[in-house]
Amino acid sequence: VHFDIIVSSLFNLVTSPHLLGLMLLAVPIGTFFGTVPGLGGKLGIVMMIPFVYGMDMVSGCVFLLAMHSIVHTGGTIPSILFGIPANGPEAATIPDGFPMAQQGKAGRAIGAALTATGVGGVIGAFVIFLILPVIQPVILAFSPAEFFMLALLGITFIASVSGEALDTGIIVGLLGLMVAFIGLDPQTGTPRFTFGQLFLWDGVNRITAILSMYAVPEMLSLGIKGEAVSKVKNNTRFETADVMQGVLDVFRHWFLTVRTAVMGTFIGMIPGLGGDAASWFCYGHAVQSSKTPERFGQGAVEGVIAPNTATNSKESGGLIPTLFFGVPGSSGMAILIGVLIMLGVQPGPMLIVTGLPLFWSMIWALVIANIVCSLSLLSCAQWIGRIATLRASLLVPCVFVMALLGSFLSSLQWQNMLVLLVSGSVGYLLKRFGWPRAPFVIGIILGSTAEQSFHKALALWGPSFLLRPVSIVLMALIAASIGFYVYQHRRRRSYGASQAPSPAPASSAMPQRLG
Amino acid sequence: MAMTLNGRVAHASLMLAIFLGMDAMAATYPFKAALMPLVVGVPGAALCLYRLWVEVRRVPVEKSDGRLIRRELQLLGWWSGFIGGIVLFGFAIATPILLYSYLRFDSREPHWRALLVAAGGFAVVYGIFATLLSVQLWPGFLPPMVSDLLANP
Repeated sequence: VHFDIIVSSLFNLVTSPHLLGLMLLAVPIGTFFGTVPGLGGKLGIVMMIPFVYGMDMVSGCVFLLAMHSIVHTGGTIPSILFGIPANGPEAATIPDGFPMAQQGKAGRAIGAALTATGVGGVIGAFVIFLILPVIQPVILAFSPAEFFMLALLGITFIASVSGEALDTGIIVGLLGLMVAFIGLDPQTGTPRFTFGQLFLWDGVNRITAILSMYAVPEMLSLGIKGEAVSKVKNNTRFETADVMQGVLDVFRHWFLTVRTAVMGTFIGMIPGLGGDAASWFCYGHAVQSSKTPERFGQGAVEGVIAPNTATNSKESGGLIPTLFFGVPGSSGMAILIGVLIMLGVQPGPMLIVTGLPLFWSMIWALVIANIVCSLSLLSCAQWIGRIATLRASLLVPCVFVMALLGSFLSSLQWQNMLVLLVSGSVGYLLKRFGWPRAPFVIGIILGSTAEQSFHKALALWGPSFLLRPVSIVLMALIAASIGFYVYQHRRRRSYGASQAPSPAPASSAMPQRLG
Repeated sequence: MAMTLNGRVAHASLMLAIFLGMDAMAATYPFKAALMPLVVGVPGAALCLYRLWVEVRRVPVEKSDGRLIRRELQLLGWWSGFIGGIVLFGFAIATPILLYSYLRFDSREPHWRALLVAAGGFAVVYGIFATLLSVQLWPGFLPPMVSDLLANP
């Protein structure tokens, strides 16, 4: 039955001109958001809200996921050509990609990066195909008690997305949780933090909250700088033969490609770790497993392949906790989950029983978008690089309008725009003073799940719900996650202290924050 | 240890005020409704207090840049203007006017380019959303009032 669903989902996707058209449309849009530094997939999803409004569930999901899954593919181009990461995960391409461009091997680096992202996306989907039957019973065994613990686990990942700024990250995460409590209390029906406003009884609109943390601060910041997004001129030219050499590099290093793709998929399944961790982790693995690690940071093509394979393969893995547990796999998935709920998707374990066709449609959309995007970008990488020089002055007012449109359409309430004004200003202040914003999104997504599961579990089992076997396992995971963070934090600090005068080598330059 | 009032201190104070305000409100709710907000809000306020203490003790490394603050206020003004304009006049009327005004007066774009983007904005909002996708866009407060007045003078 499972195999039938997989095949029929693919058949439905490729035989529907409507869905195929949406996927083909998603590719250039995702490439645009990926290529312009500072925009990224998260902003891409929120900007697309007005367009998916009114679409049916499958069309909206396929379009959004196809767009989101290839954002990092486009982002590799400015990373290699200009040394500017368009988004966090692409930063891991720079240590070897940019030196390759400086050595006149830009074409080879781009060929390798684009092929690696495409192959990574495909392998990621294949890994999901293999492991889904194994994890299905585990997903179905979850009850409110486990959901509460899982929500807590997700909330502890706020630490991971806070980077060095742990206290500010936790504050912002707690603020997100508080905002999630706005509205009628599910237990008593008491209006909480509504200021007598009827439109707040259903809570703060998630889309508006997400827009206020990403679209508004980014655009205010861009508008204040008032310059081209990338000031570096594209002075790197390359031939098709160079690109083809990079393509072949991925297959020459096939074992590394497969290893990092599988690793990326599993990292994607761990809520909160996100793309930055996947790409840097796999870059580190490539360095460690190489017989000649001294070449890394000087323009080693393996240093381009490893992070890019992981960047796209982790998107498939991220869908598992996002859709089946309602716990986002990354900050991008946290935004995606908000929009999917708007489209009518109900994330939760029952989705593995009732929503498998939708799940596989999304996985196939991811695979097809990856293949189409990699092939199309390989043929026009030179021109795509110029998108990064787009002036902010033209972009800012257009995004303002789209943000307001998205906010209004998400629940057809004009008051959302006023909420956007207030919360967008708070979002800008967070960005301005370097407070991480991703924890807010995690907080607002998980807040209501945590509260409702807690009350349900308490009603069903009393405080003994904490002693259920899976709850104990999850509590151990929470403790391990906190322990790992503390270990990593201390290690980073001690490394930073010992290396203070000289810049850290690329292989150890872990991401600071998923903002 | 010099006490400094700068943007960071003001920001930490604002966050503390938000948490304290929400905690105070939550304290007035029935126990079940107040439980989670207080479990989250009290540690939040405590952390904000800690952050405020850190910021107050921190010696400011950067001087406040008057030009940057002016520009920030300008942009916030534009952002508020976009919201005010759309709330009052609706998407279809306000979008082209706001796009043109921003590009012409803030970005100093040439007249023709500002007009082109404004027309593009109108085409997207009215052409794609309102007409093609039949999406019900916010009409604004003023246009319906004006059309009512014109219909019933």
